[in-house]
Amino acid sequence: MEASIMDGPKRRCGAVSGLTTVKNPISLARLVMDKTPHSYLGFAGAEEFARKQGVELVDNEYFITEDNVGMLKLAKEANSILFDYRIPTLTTCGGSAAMENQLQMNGLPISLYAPETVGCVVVDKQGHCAAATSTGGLMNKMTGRIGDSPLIGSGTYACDLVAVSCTGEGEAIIRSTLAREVAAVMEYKGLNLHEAVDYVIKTRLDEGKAGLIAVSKNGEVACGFNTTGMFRGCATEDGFMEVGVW
Amino acid sequence: MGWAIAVHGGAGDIPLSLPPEKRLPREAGLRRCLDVGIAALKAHNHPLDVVELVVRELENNPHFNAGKGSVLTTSGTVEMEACIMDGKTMKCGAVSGVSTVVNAISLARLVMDKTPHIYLAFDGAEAFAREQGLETVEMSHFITPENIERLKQAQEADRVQLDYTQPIQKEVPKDAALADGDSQIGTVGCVAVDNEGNLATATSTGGIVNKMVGRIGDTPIIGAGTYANHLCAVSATGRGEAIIRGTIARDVAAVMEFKGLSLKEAAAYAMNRVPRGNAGLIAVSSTGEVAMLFNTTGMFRACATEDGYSEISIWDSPIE
Repeated sequence: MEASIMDGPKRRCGAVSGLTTVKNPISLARLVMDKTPHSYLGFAGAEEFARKQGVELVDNEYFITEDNVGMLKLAKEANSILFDYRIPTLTTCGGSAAMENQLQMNGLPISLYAPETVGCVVVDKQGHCAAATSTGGLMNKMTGRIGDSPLIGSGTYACDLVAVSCTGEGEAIIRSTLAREVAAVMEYKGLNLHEAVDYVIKTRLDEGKAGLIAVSKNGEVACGFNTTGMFRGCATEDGFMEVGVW
Repeated sequence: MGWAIAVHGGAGDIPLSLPPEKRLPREAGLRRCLDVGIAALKAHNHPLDVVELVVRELENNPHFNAGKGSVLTTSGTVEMEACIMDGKTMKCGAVSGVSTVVNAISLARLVMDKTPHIYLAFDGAEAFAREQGLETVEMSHFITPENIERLKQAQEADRVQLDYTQPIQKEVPKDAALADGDSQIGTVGCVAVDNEGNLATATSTGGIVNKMVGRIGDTPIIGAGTYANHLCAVSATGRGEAIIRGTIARDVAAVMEFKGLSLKEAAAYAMNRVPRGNAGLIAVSSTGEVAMLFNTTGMFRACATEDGYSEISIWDSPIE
């Protein structure tokens, strides 16, 4: 598991990768930020730090669900890394050919089961932004593979202007430094939050599939994705509230 | 237009009083790497191959903080990291926590070329190296007496030290005013562009002295220590934590693109995002320009362009 957290005003950050027994990776990332002179700890060193900090540890089995075991088996048989974002839904064009190629489990499209990254971005009344992202990574990934979630500027970013958390194909997000991109076009091109998110999603991902959520120091909230859907929710102080999938 | 290449052997608090026995081997190393890189560019090798080749040279040189000569973790072990990126395709590869692979940069290249991923670390990276038949050795191969001494001193001073040229003086260091006395150096890198505008960057490091086991710095983080796109290729060095926070390598390219700055202006702009005493970078543009900047006392560096210009420097004025 891996995670990262970033605090806008001073751009302080913390990240972890390769965790297997830490119940809440995001909290360990926070501790890396607050309690070490470093920004990023991984694998055995991160686990050791966790032990020293006394954070809650559990057996690796705690994290494993039946669905995931099933999907791993399918992925290995198909010799693939499962990206739910690429699986066409019944309503997209492509017709019967697409349906036949669709990976299924228990008779339903695999996209319904595929696990995803989680994240949260927040801004307070003072315009202080923060972002956090956490994930188990890609189904059937190579051991030791690190994705975008713990990489500052890729999966997570926060500065004076904005906080961003991304999800999707990690490799595409890394290549496009997606989270930093949103902030960079706001900073360097003067785009507002919504323009920045649209621009970045439309132009920076090429073949890659991803989504992101963002808040600005002005209390705006935006999301964008070039996938079929992105599980999300948002709320603002003036009472607006939304939960969405597509 | 024309080819260009820049190489660095680390930015930091390199004292002007650096004794010849510490200065000369590094200058010679930079000179050799520059020559290797120039020859490769003249022979029309792709910049990706050029930067990998040059960084391998630097990794094999025990006087630089990468490969052999890497600084040590708090446990006295070596955990190397490296990253490579191709400007045109924006394909990239990175590794961390490598302890037995002779050339971490080549492992990063294999991650880029042979896996669906970008970044592999620790046991997974080591296993992949073996699968790919890369040269591996006992970890002791990388450890030099100088670095054992540096670790000892850092632990006595109970500080995290980046500098590996200057052992901590027992009395108060003259540079105490700079960044709470931490002298900083480390990391090697190379950026290159050919006369068709193909760009590439490669960075490799042992990290910082006395780092926590498992600590990852800026080098393998795309956009922080390493970045290339169609406009430029960048490799940064210095205090990893500051470079990560400043997304330095990405920002050089971003201000070129979004603010229309030239390479040199962009490099200066990005350097302003890092506090004094913390970092340096080298960069080349698609049109064959070179920039080498640092806000530390010095940066071991060298560059050359097709029109015949070349330079090897440590502090502000070129040595040759």
